[in-house]
Amino acid sequence: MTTTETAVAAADTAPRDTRQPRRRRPWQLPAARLAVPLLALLAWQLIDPVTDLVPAPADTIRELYSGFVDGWIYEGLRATASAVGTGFVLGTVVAFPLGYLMGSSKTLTAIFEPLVAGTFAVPRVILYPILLAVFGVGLEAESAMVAISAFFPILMSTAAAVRNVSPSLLKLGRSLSARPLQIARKIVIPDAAPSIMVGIRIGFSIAFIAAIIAELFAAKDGLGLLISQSYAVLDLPRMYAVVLLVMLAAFAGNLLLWWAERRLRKA
Amino acid sequence: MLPTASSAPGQPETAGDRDGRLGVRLADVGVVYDTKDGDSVEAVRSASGHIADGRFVSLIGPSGCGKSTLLDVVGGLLAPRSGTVTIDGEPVTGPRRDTAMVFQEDSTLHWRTVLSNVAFGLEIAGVGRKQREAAAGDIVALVGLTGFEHRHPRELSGGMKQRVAIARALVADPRILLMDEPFGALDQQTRMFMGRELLRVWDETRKSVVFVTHDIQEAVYLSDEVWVMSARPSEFTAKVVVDLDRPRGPGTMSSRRFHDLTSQVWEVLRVESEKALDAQRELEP
Ligand SMILES: Nc1ncnc2c1ncn2[C@@H]1O[C@H](COP(=O)(O)OP(=O)(O)OP(=O)(O)O)[C@@H](O)[C@H]1O
Ligand SMILES: [Mg+2]
Repeated sequence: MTTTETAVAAADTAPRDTRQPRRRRPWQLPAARLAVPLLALLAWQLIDPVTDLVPAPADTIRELYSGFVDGWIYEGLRATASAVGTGFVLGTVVAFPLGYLMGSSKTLTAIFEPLVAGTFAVPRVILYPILLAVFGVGLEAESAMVAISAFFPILMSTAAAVRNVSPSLLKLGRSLSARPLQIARKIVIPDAAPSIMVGIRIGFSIAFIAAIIAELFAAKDGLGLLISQSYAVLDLPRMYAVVLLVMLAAFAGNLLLWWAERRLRKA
Repeated sequence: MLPTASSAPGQPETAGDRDGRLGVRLADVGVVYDTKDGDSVEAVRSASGHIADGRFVSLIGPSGCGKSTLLDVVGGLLAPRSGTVTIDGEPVTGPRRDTAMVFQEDSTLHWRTVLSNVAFGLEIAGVGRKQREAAAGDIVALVGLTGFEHRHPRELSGGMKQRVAIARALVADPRILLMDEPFGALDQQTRMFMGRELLRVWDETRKSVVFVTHDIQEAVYLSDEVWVMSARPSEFTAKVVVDLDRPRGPGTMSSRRFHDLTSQVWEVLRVESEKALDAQRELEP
């Protein structure tokens, strides 16, 4: 090796950051993650004797378990899941291309940004009575409610993400004579993906909230309906059991999207 | 002044032309940018010049004089306000497949590995995976990134990212190579090493190269001609023909002629840089 080559090699392998992150033991992270819900459960157990309004965790979990064994929970779970599923997919499928268009055109941004930002602050639930009037009580109205709720965060984050795509990458695409579809698929979407995924996750959470609220208000089926029904007869263990299930379902859904996002980022 | 320092045109138009190729010609190119607040900035006033096919030309000039702007124009990314650029006699109307660019800013695709970054241009051009990865692998070795093929840009130093960009430009074997301060983020030794490697590739393939740099020695060492730009709104104040023998090596830099040529470029550049600084001072309150 000549001196120059040695210098090149040295330059390449020289450490750039001397602060080594402190090494964590492999069990520490999962343990910490598990500790949080366990502590919450403990707190729940502790306040149980203080008030009549909260059933014991054990009773709640037993009730939830019975819901699955006796089967009274399935219908509601299925209704909510299909409303969230169809509505969320519908909202995403409409919001994503529109957001993409908005993000890539300065004119469209100038026209629609204030409108969208303004509308974002309007609670979407007020649209539900209108949807009920149009579709009647049932899956359609609820899915539409979910779709509208998911629409705005996904639209806004997609538009912002596309607008913030690095100009030098776009320049690169142009200089390589890339076709518009290639620029979209190979430059814009991968560069914008992390921010778009954040919007999709927020959209999912809001969609889920919208579904439950809609069901509390008026529905034929669903977890929200189960909650309001058990509240009406003051069946607190059942009410809490369904609330717990809603929390678990939202958690699982978000976890799934988070996992998908990490997979996407690595690909 | 030495006889080889020709100012502005003066050069026979057919010099260096091969296979009847006319090379790159700039005729009175002027570029005006419209800024957001409705103002306009005249970046380039009138740039004319001829890069004969297979010549290595360096652009040097004060910061903000319009070097990157001119490269964008030659690369078909920016339409000039006035004047024309022709390649082999055809006016440039947009990016061409036989022209490759290395940008001043980082333009690596951060979600792709080094290898797939380097192969990106070929992928866009529709070359199959096996073929483009083989080609990319060779070029990765050439720019000294062997062993880093499967790393991502965030794991690379600034200089290594620049080498990825250089490799990406070289991989499609373009006839015209437009490089905007490609060695800007490299240390002196790596810079020299990369310069020598670039010359080796160039010796083999004789691409036409337009090379932007702030380093006078680098410009003289690499080039057939060094074009010095004036402060903005710019034009070429001098074109210094570098008559040093090729292939060039470590001996070149210690030669008397090399020293003369660098001082010649430096003299013109010093005057222009002072003008640029004065102009900036005038703008300040
Ligand atoms: N997109 C743009 N909009 C408005 N003005 C611009 C734009 N790009 C460049 N300019 C202006 O044009 C002039 C030339 O810019 P350019 O980037 O070509 O300079 P440069 O010679 O490459 O400088 P440097 O050596 O610092 O890279 C500068 O004054 C700059 O402010
Ligand atoms: Mg520049």
